[in-house]
Amino acid sequence: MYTNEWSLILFTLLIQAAVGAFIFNLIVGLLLKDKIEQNKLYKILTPTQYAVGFFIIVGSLASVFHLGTPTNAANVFSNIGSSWLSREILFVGGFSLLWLVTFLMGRGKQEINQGLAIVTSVVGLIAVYSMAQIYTSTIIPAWQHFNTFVVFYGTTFLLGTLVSMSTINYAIKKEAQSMEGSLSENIVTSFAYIVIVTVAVQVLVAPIYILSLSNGNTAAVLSAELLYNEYVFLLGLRWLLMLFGGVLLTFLIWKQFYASKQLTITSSQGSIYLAFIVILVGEIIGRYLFYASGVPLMIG
Amino acid sequence: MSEKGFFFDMTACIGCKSCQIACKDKNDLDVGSLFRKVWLFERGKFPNPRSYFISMACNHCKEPKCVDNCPTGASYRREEDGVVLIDLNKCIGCKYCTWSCPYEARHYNKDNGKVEKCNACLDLLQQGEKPACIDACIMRVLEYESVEELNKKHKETTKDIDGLPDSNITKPNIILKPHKHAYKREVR
Repeated sequence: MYTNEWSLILFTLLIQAAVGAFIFNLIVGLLLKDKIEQNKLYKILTPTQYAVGFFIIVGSLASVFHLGTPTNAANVFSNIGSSWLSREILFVGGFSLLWLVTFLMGRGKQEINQGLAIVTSVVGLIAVYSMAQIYTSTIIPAWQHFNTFVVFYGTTFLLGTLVSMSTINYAIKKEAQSMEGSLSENIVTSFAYIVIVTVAVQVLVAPIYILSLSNGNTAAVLSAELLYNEYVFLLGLRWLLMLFGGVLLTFLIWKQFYASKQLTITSSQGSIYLAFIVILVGEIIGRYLFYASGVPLMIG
Repeated sequence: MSEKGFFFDMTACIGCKSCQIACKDKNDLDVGSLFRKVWLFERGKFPNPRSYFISMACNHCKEPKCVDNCPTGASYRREEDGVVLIDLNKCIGCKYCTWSCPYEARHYNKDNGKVEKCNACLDLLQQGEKPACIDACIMRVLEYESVEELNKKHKETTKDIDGLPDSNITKPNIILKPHKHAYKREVR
């Protein structure tokens, strides 16, 4: 059992989920901007902000646990010219700060400043990009692959949509709001499509990734062997869970088109929560495997 | 700047590991941590087996990825002789450099929460002595001098052999006299 990198598994998953949830929360805000009252909209969007804040705080704490000597951390921006880790800390810090400003300003005015939220989202996406670049700039063939970008952005979009859909659903029920049918239907359908496409992309890239590892240098081959020998059960489980989540949401959309069933966030909540849990577990397993299969280029 | 590097004569190395032990002793390393290591390579099959040793520490590379990737600048390369060092006052123990070295030269020390590695025995060099590994070698296969001098002294050398990472990744300051069993590195 590989136990070394739990703090980084948590950190990367939580920050990516935070960025994704913030972005999709903003998208909902933009979609509904002129269709429902400002106050109502703010109340629906706020619980997601709390979730984002919670992920940022817990994720950052987890990342500090990874460090041997966090007290020297004042110097972490010294090498921004060449170090992706320096840059990542800058952008994650920037995203966190911008989130806080958006959140506090929102509380003051009871409305989210969309310009600021867009800037925050862009900084968040750059932060995820920097995270992926950290790993592609190592000498670990399993990480120096396009697949790293696919899985990191994959987490951002998957956990982001599912977290924000869950928290928005919670907000709607809590405020006893009703959202007009077609409004929430569009949201559920678009988000379901995003999840399905993201799962599909990851599923398509995975065999290409493992094949290219098997045909690479010694360290790459060792990584591939770890995945399909020692970790084959977890690998299979991860993809099974992701596919199940994707199929669940496909079924949800099918129900809407063919069974002519009205799709609101609240009526689909069972599927949304189930897909969330299933995909979350799949993502945790996937990230664990990412770190566990990282064999460095070595002598011999 | 006169860059310094290691010369290693593979044809005469007997794999005794005196260099490995001398380094470990001089640096008082913990179990599991080795700044210099000796690897045995076995290739081929009977009736044509091939084997050779490689002794390698930090190669104080020309383009060290560890220095590029270090977020705090704790990892740095000296101007005057190209020696790559770690400033322990700045190191945060993130271990990113251990993911950046193709030669396994860097080790995370759990006791002080920082990363450490071969420093070319700078303290010994300052006293006019040679690095511990070089003095310990009973076959005299190791040298540590300016790369220019080494290239003048030794001909028919290489940086790339089967078993070592591609020298174009970090441009290590290592000059090898290859063993006849050590083929040129296979390029896939």
